[in-house]
Amino acid sequence: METKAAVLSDSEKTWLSKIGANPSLIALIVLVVFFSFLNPRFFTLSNLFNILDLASLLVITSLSLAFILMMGSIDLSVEGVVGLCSVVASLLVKNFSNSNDFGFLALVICGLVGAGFGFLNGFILSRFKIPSFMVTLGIGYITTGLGVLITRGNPVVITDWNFRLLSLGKIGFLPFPFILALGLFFIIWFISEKTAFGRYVLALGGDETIVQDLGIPTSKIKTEAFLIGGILYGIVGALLTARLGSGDITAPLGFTFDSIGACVLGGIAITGGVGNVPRAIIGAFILTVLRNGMVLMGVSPYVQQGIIGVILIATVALTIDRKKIKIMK
Amino acid sequence: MKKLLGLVIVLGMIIVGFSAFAQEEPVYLGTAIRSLSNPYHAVWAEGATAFAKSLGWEEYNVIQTCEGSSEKQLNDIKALVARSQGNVVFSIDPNQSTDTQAIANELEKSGVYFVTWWNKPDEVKVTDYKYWVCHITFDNRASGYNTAKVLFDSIGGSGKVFALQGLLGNSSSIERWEGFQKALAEYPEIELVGWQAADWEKTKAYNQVSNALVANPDIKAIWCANDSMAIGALEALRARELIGKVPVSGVDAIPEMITAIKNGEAVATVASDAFWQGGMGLSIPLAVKQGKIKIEELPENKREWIAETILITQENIDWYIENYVEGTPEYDWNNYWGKWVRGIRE
Repeated sequence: METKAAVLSDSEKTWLSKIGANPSLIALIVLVVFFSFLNPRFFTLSNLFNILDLASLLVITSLSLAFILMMGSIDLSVEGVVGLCSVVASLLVKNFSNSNDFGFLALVICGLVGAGFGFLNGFILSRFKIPSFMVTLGIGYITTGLGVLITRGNPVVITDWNFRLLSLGKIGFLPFPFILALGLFFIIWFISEKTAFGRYVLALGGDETIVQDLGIPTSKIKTEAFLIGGILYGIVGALLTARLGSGDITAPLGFTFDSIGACVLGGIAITGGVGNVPRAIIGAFILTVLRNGMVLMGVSPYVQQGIIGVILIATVALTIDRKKIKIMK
Repeated sequence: MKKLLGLVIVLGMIIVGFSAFAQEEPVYLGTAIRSLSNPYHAVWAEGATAFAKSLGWEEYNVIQTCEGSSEKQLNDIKALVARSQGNVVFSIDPNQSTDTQAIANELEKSGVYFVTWWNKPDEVKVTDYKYWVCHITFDNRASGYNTAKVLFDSIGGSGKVFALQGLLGNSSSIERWEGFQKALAEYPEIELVGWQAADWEKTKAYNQVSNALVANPDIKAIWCANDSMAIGALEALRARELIGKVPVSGVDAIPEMITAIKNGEAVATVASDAFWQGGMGLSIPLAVKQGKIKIEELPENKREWIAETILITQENIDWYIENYVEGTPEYDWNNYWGKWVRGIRE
């Protein structure tokens, strides 16, 4: 007869993963119902459009963080790479500072620039065995510095109204950024669920030594995961420029906290090995809906940030796997 | 013959020695600001550099950015004092009000003259220090008040208004808000339907205004505590096809805002002339160090004072562009009190 303790310690990754139903999805539904009751304007087409629009950039960055967190690493270079790519995009499309006119090609180039820095993240991490915390922090600073160097602190205003459709456009009643985010979601989800690479990423977060023993090239997987993240950041950078009408290195301030927070709220453990891509999207929507709902409810701005902080801490406490804290990834 | 040669050599040495003495010793010029990644501080740095160039001391011009870290700001200042062996003057924009005293104590201890800008706790007195030459700020309350009035007038003095504050802990945010509230009290038909804090940032402002427009679709005008947030608000309005229909105001006179006012999308901003701040912040403590200003002779209202700002609206936008954007006004770095308005405590 197994003791209760043995049963618990064996499968106690997190109690969340033992529950078949997805608790974050339930939380999202509860939030939507809650806010709908409190303000009739919440459950309107106009607000739905608004939420989809506001959530789209966060969805894309969270897709990247999902992969990286599931792998057991962390990425603090989001703001730097997105900011630099926002600047790059603004300098490539029609703008006031130079005579470039690359149009939508700028989106592709930004993806490549992002990929480059993502590759650097993964390469330095796996080759020199430096913790992802430090590598990505460093790359974040470097990219921010590059952005400031290029622009000397002045945002680059763009004049390409076609390019701005990437953010301002809509198809039917859906905002274009959301459609782009949805497309990227399906691609990343496919990679995660249907490819060996996707399964290895999760396995790495679970127990890296087992993966190594099986002869799987862990360095290659890590580098690829960060590379994919980088491409996503590049796309977000271009989208930000389209949204705000200028390339601004400070525009993505707060993205790191939001992206990691979205993954955690969705149920991806910060210690790795737990979760899947849809959870990150649910988390992104939880965060967006929370902020939107609090504004509609008239919650005092003085406490809004605090409320989000408390919810995040509670969620981490419930999802963290304390056995793994000592291992640095 | 030998004696004559000797005399010539000695005379030559005396002449060379005197001419070296007659040139002024270069002094390190330290500017401590938050970050070059925003246009306001970027122009500030240009002003400081222009001042250094006017003296031919470019290699002694040091711009320090603390990127929002109070600790880094203090450490960088200490490091430059050490490196220059005290032969330095500073112009400092303290990261937060609460940092000003620590910085003042450090520089007082090292015997280094300095000027501070914007943030300082009220109880801390510049006159208690021998090396703290001036604290200069701008009338944030007037900025908030005047931009609010122009905004309210632009919608006929009545209607629903939304507001965006900066970082809630910054004194400039608090003071501009006080000015806004004062204007609000004078316009009984203006209704403030809500406000949010967007931390001085464009993207946050975009998100907040997007949500606010759902909560209150009939907002007629948006007041912002700075221009970066005003631009974010304008883009959110553009996304909902309301740009040009809902006027916006800000503070700082960044290039994008100047364009927006010219286009009729925004109605007001305030320029504190960051270029002037950059140069004058160094010129004043340098003048004290060189003995051109005697600190003991300065009255209290010249130790803590408020400097002129320019209110920019659609009425004077062309004048501003002509003089400050397309041209650079002539700056006389020796005119220390040219923009003096009044003492802080008056």
